[in-house]
Amino acid sequence: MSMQRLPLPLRALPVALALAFASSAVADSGIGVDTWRGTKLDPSAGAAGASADARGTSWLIDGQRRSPTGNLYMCPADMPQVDTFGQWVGYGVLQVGALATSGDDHNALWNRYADWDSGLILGLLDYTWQRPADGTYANVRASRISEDDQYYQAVFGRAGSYKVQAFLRDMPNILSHNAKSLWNGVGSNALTLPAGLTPAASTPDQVAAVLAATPERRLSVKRSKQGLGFNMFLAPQWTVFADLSDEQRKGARPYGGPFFFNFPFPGNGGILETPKPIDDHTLNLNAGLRYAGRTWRMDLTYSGSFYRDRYSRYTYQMPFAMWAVIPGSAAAPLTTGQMAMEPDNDYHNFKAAFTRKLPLNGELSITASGGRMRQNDALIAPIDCQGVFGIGLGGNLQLGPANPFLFDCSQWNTPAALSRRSADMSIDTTLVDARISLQPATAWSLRGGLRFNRDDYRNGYLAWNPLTGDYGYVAENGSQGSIVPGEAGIFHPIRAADVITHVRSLPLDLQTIDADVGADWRIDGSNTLGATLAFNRFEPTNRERQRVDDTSLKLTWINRSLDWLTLRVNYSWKDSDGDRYNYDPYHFIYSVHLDGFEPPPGGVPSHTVEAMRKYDLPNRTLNKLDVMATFMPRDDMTISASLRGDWNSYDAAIGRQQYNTHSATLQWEWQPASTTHVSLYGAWDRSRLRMSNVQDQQNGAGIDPHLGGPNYALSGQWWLHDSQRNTYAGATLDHRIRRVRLDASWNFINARGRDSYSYASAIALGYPALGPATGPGAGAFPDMRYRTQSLTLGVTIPVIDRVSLRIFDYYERGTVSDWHYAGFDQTRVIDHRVYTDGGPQSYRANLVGVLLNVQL
Amino acid sequence: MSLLRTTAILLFTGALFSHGTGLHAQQTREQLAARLPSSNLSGGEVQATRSQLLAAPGFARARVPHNPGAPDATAVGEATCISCHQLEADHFTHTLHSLGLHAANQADASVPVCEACHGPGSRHAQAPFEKGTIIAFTKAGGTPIEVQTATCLNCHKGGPRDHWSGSVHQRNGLSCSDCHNPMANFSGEGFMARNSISDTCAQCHKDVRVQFNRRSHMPLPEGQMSCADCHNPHGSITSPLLKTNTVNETCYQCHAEKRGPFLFEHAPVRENCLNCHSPHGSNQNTLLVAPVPFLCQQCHTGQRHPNDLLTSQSLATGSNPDERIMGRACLTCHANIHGSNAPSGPRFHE
Amino acid sequence: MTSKTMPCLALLAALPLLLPATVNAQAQSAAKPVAPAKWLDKRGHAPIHGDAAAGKAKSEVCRACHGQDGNTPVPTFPNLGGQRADFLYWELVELKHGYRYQSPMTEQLTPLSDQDVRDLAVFFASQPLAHASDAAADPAAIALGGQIFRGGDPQRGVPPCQGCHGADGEGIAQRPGWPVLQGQHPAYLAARLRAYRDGDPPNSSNDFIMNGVARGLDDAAIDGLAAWLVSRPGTPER
Repeated sequence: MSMQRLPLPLRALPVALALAFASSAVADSGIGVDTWRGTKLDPSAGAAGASADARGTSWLIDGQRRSPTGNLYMCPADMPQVDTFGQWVGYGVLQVGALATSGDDHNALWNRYADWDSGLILGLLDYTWQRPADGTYANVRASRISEDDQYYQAVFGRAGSYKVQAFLRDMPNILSHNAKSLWNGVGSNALTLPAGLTPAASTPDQVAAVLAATPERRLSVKRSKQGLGFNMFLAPQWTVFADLSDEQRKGARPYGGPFFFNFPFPGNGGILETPKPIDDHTLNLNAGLRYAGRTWRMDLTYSGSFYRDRYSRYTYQMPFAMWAVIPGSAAAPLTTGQMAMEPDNDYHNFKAAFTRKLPLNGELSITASGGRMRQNDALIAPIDCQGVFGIGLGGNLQLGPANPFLFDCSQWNTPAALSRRSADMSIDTTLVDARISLQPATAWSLRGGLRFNRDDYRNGYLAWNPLTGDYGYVAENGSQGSIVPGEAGIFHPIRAADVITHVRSLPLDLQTIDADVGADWRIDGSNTLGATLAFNRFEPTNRERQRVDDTSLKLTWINRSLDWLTLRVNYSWKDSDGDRYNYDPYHFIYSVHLDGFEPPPGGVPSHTVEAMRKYDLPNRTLNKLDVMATFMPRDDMTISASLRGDWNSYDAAIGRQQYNTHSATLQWEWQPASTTHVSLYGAWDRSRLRMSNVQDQQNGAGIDPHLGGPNYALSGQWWLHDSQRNTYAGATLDHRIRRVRLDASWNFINARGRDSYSYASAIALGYPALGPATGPGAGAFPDMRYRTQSLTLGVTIPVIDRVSLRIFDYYERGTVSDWHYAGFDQTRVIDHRVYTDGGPQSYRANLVGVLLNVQL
Repeated sequence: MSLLRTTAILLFTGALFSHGTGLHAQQTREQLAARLPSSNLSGGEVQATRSQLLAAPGFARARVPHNPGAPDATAVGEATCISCHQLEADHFTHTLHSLGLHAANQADASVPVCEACHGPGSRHAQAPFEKGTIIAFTKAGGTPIEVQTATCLNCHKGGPRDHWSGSVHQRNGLSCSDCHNPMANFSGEGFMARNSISDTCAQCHKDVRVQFNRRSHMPLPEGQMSCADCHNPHGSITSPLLKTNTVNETCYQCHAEKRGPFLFEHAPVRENCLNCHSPHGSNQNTLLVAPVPFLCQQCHTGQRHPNDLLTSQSLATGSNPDERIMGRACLTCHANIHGSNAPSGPRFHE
Repeated sequence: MTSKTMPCLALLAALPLLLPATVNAQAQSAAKPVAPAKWLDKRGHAPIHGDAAAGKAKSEVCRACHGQDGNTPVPTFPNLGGQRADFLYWELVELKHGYRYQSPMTEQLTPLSDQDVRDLAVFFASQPLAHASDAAADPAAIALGGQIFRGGDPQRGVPPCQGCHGADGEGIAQRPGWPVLQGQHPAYLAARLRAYRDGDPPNSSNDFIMNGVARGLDDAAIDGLAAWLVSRPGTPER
């Protein structure tokens, strides 16, 4: 990339910052990410491993106090062993040891974001220095589980004055452990077929034989991030901060690669799941100035993000030969497909928030934010081919008037074939938010908010080839037009005047206005009622609706009247409605609006069925209930329970009709002694989604958009019910018997997804001739299953003073089945389809670890 | 960016070795306590070790907050507090608040320590079992939630907490101390009440936390991120407490490649990532809300191939395998579904 | 849930049931002769019960030093009459199990069962509080003691004693294990306070509190407190 492509002041920024503040990305709940760094081995980054102080929390009371909601606080950790270095004191912990994994330890699900490996590890290094005289401190924390799973961070600061921080973090993401890449060059931007396979001339049998002999491999993406940041008080009311981070992503992931349909054309087309290279990095900068005075507060922030991809595209070779559907004609051989990578982009956002205290215990806060996302990547050519693409009538692949469906690659395989050479796209965002709160009496608080948000697209793109005068693009690497005449995706007012194709980009300007008013009434010391009435107006551009209005009411009740119970109940109702639903607002992006367009003899086929209602622009009614309760049955116990229901009803004959989710959770926590902590939880949730769609009957040529018409006949309607059900449970135990600490934890999830369908008649089916499926399981897909359970058992034994040994075992078993991948264990070459990813697989794996824990 | 990485490495190693290695002299708690700064309001021996550096502004202006529950109470000083609350003081010693307050107290004996947060202690010392006589941050302490939060906000107002007032957590009667416990170091970052940010949120939001146990999830259970990467629990200008102006801007923080804008855009993608993704976890691949192709078929009813009902007969194991339902289904061909920068990508094929 | 997962669940569910036996070992140490721990945890125990009549019968051995009804003329021995039963019991447990270094009481208590100790505690608690007297007390010292007891001495980091011992040293309802101080022999009280101040090794969780509380007391304050307390009228909190 890279830095060379950044504007100069930004290139200098990291250097300037690093030198000026020698600093880091500071976790901030208000802006930016990087609030946490841990590993799967210890997600708590050391805290959970610290043993509780056997003396308890206070000499004055037994056990733990409770948070205002009623949760028991934890017992503080044992006092650290403190050493003195002149004015400084220091303390910390070092955990080093080894892991040994066994079983299916190569499995992607087992290694999810962990990449566990047998070998030596640095479990944790955490050391703190403090200089009590002036509050200066420093801390280093590090963990290294494997080369791809590690973090290191250093903090230096003075309490109440400044803080500088630096970190490095590597995180693995194993996407597939059983990938078989037909192509060489995984991770690069040129995927080539191995020896033995000829591009555009190989048979499925040949491809299948090569893939069968290809070893399974891992596809993964590693994120490596480094950050620098600082924040400091300039004066008691003024603080300034800046966080800079840079993240690289490197690896490959399963992606796509289309050379037109295979399903209607046996032995034709190409469906290629290619491994996409991931090789990019992102520079993020957040900086701001904050003022917090008695009357005024101010928060000025800048966020910048700069994404840079090493590649603008990747190419892959097409193994299969294709044939044109016109008898006697020839399909031009196409050897190469291409996939655009995400463009480099720059993002700037300025935000200013001003808050002023008001009479009546009030506050008025106004936030204004303006930003721009922009990219101006050089555009790739419409196609990567040599010679010709399209159909040679009569088997003749010579360009000329006799071959209206054959195209000259040289007029399309260059950026000169584009209406402009670079993308030059941007979106400007504007946001103004104002909110006010007042507390005219102790028992009453009132609030109101108003928010305006806008996205403005700058620029659009016209797909026009100045070399040929054609409009449109080359569909599916030229394959579509090489198989079916007239489907190349290219319109010309004379040569191809009836071709319907995309010719423009789709600007999606939008505007939202939100307003809400609310009041909370504290009836007595233990009951509070609240109500919020809100109105949202969403105004998208170039969508089926130009306006969607939501009206909602939310009611809240908080009850603390019983010593042993805190209850929070929230109920919301929302109704969405809008202007007339136009099922086809997209005319202008198609060639149908261009001068010279000649409708086909039967007329312009309808864009879609008129009865479709997209679920982001619906008439919808929502009801939502949320009950949370914290019970305190005994001084050393807490039981938390929640119940949630979310009912969404959509007014759609075709499209999403209903989406309901329900959940219940129960957790029990017991802290009978400072050195004993036991918890159990169980949870259950379910979602049900119902949708409908309708099969068209006139082979793509129907002009009547109406449901029940000749094209979208009611006999073609079908319905799908997606039902997801999850059961969760878990338990933890942390207990000390004299100086030996035992820890155990168990987690369980059993997920079942069931997709069942019904249809008006067999016409709705993709393969009506097959007729309805019969026998067991008819009317439904096989259940999707995901069931895992994991068990950790550990014992920590003191060895000598300051040194203890933790021996632990982590066992995980996962059962997974996903019908998308059914049969991929047998073959991944199915006619002209090639699949790289074998899909998720069940596993059983175990990890044994030994960690020497030294109090430094 | 190797410069950035190198700088970070140097800083890390520098910090690691900057203070050399000390003798691990065995010491008692009493010795430790004796060495730690006293903060008796009377000053006393404190002045001898007083730092010559300027006071840290964050703590130098700490004052004893008013406690409406004990309007006549007066400050008694840290020494009086810890005469009974020694164990609490032990645990508090190594927190950042302790470090800052003690340093500020050394520089200026009028800076309170315990009473900077708990209010004046005289009435509580006389009647420790009388609720509300001290600003307590516990359920049984008798201090109204509003007094608790106002006390914390005395020093922590503004910035990330700018929109606390009127936020969903404020309206639901949460106190700072429902999530934070600064009395000891319970978490590596953020003075959380539990071992991590995510554990703390799960006290109430267990239903959300368990969703991260589903087949596809962001790396939160693995400790690589926290709820606070996306949400600002202190309140924000969005109702799900997002840290940025919109859902998508939140996602772009880590998925910057999705930001574009692309030459060809996919309307629901630009509008809201959550149209298709379930951010807290899903049993589909890649956090999808519903299985492909049905996810797509909720909107795509156009002519020809998008509107067919495909059944298990079209899986690789069936009689009529069909690419529209196997593997990545629609996404095998419409791979650049988040938008395409290819001039030949209006349908996201390239 | 599969049948294979059930045993795991059952095991985990059963663990809490097994725990109390070990968790409360420290609390139950009172009842069993165990190797002396460093200090006795007196926090959070349920109120004790005993038989005063049975206690009286067993109190023979106590009488020599503490008097018939727990009230002794010897100024360096504590008065036990009217003291709170919970306080007495846990003090005796502390002594019986040797938490207090080389106390002669340990040997006296060794033969007694835990029930005996409970009975004794209840017996002495049922006896009247005989206010000792300190005729020689200096009124100024009494005034100083009262000032510290009621208001503490923030300059020295001394909290008001009344918070834990009641406005007149009668004890407080919320903590039955914290003692009545009023009417106690000044010499005994002063000796104990001096021991706390001088950092005697703590034998119980309460000693940690008192060590901190007494750290700021000088001799005049200690004598004043002792003198003021013996002068307090009133009825002890039960």
